Amino acid sequence: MTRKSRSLSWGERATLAAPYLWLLLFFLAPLLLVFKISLSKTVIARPPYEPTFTWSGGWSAWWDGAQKFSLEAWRGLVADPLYARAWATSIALAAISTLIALIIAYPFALAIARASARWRPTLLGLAMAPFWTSFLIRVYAWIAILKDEGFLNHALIALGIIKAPLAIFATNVAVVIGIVYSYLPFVILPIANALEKQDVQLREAAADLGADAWRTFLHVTLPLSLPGVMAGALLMFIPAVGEFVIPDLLGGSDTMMLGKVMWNDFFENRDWPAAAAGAVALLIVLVGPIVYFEKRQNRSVA
Amino acid sequence: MTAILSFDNVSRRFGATLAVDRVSLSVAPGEFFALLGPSGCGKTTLMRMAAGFETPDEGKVFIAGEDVTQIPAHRRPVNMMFQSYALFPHMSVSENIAFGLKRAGMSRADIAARVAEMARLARLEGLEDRKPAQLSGGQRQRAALARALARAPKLLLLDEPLAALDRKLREATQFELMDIQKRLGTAFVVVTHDQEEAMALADRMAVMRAGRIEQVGAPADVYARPRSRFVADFIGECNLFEGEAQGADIVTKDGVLRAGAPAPHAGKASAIVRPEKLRFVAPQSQGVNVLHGIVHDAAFRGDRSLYRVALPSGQMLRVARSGGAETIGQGVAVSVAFDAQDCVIVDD
Repeated sequence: MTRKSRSLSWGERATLAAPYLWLLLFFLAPLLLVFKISLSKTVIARPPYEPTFTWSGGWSAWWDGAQKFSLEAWRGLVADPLYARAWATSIALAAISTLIALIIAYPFALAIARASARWRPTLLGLAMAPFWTSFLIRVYAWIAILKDEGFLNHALIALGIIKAPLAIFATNVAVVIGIVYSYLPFVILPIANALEKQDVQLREAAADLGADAWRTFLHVTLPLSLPGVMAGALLMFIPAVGEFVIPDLLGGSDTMMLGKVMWNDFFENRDWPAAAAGAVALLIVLVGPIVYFEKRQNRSVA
Repeated sequence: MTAILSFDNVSRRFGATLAVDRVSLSVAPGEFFALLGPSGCGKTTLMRMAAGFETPDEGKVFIAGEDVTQIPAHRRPVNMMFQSYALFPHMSVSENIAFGLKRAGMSRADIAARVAEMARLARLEGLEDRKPAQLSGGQRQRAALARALARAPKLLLLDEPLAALDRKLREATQFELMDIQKRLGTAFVVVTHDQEEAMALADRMAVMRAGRIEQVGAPADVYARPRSRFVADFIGECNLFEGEAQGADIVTKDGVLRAGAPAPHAGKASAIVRPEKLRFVAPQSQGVNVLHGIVHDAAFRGDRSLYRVALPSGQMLRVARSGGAETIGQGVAVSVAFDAQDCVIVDD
């Protein structure tokens, strides 16, 4: 369909500009600052990097400062084996957690989408219920569950399933459990939404053409819900890669995830450029797949 | 010959409403059958019971003589074309057509041959790789038909197959549908609320109202001899005279009218005469079934003109007159007559 473009009124322009202005001020500008710091060198000073720029020095001082930009932090990012390990650990743990969460979330989402219209809001509310409690407190609660003398081990020993307590706390397993638990609602919601929008008649058509319940699911329901699955996976995977709190609280000293490495660089080593370079690199790596899937989804809709 | 589809006293209740009320009906093999009625009359529920999407609360459904009442949809030897077409949006036209064939366990080569055959039948050649979203409304309709016919069912159910098409396309598609039906010899059961569509398509039709069947018959018979006021009114235009029936005569405010057959019961009844069965006769003619009135207005319809004639009782008579004849001006006193055989008396 063709739509005649018409000039927008000032009010409409201002309304449209507001979100862009917001993004410019609170997303792009800070990001550029972080990027600038990643091109700096560490010094023992306050702030702990150079060059710094002031308004008073004039253009020549700015030029002198600009000469001091270096790629040292970026080189370190590639050369430091600690970072390579942190990348691998982060992506692996986030990927495993996302996969487990998808497997748990799909039946949840299906149950919500197929529930009667009267029950659906209640079930969705229950899926969201954990958000009513502080994230930090919920992660702390998992310490009480997972530690050696925690609820889980007590219960398993009492039931006679195990004799000695399982060492789950302070391992990568605990981190995966924590991440899956914390991000599960973010995966359930988009999948439930995608399933709910599916036309019931498509399933009837599949049955009419001889497909039993399983084949209808495999060939119709599941493929048509993939955009929701992809959205849920990205919504979880992206923040999970940079997750800091969960590995810090539930992980062991050997759990080296990117968020924690950056935190250490920033607060303990006072190496701001390295932490900044890590943050920018993470963003670039994660933006790639988002843009790709966004494009693909737009194409499949059109 | 065993009926391809038959309902034996089926009922279906949704909460407090009885959507289908003790319906019995048979469709012969190769027949083009229409279920006609206003929305909410139960025609779609009845069709969905044949497809297996609804189970009757009472009664039985038979397909080709076999009791399928408890057989789930995916194991019934019928196919259905949905009103929304329900084409799988993530599959191409050929994948849509092949879906049912794959479920039937056909070999790849056989599937490819059958898909090509169906694409040819439904005039979809060259569009096989398109997704449903890339098709026009008419092409989508034909793709849905091709998919539903791919498994060569003995019975095809069509839910409002033409409702989503615009008027011009609908007429062309009507003939196409009849053509395909005759060529394949498949029994078609069409659900529609459009009486013109039902009459144009079907060999026989059932007129439904409030979950019950009012009348079953060939369109021409149902049109000429409606069994109730509802049927007469729902199918085509009609003139209705209320009165007291006495045998084949009925006493109305406009005089005594004579019908072709005696009334089913004596007492309150209505006489029905179709507008095209009325003809203008010489003014002040005398005789049976002659009415006198004044031309109220006339609407020119190209192939015919429709007159409204005011009778002394105040009733407005509708008279159709085929084109070509000179027009009669407003306010002219006229006489109209009809043959007794063109008048039907129905119960009130």
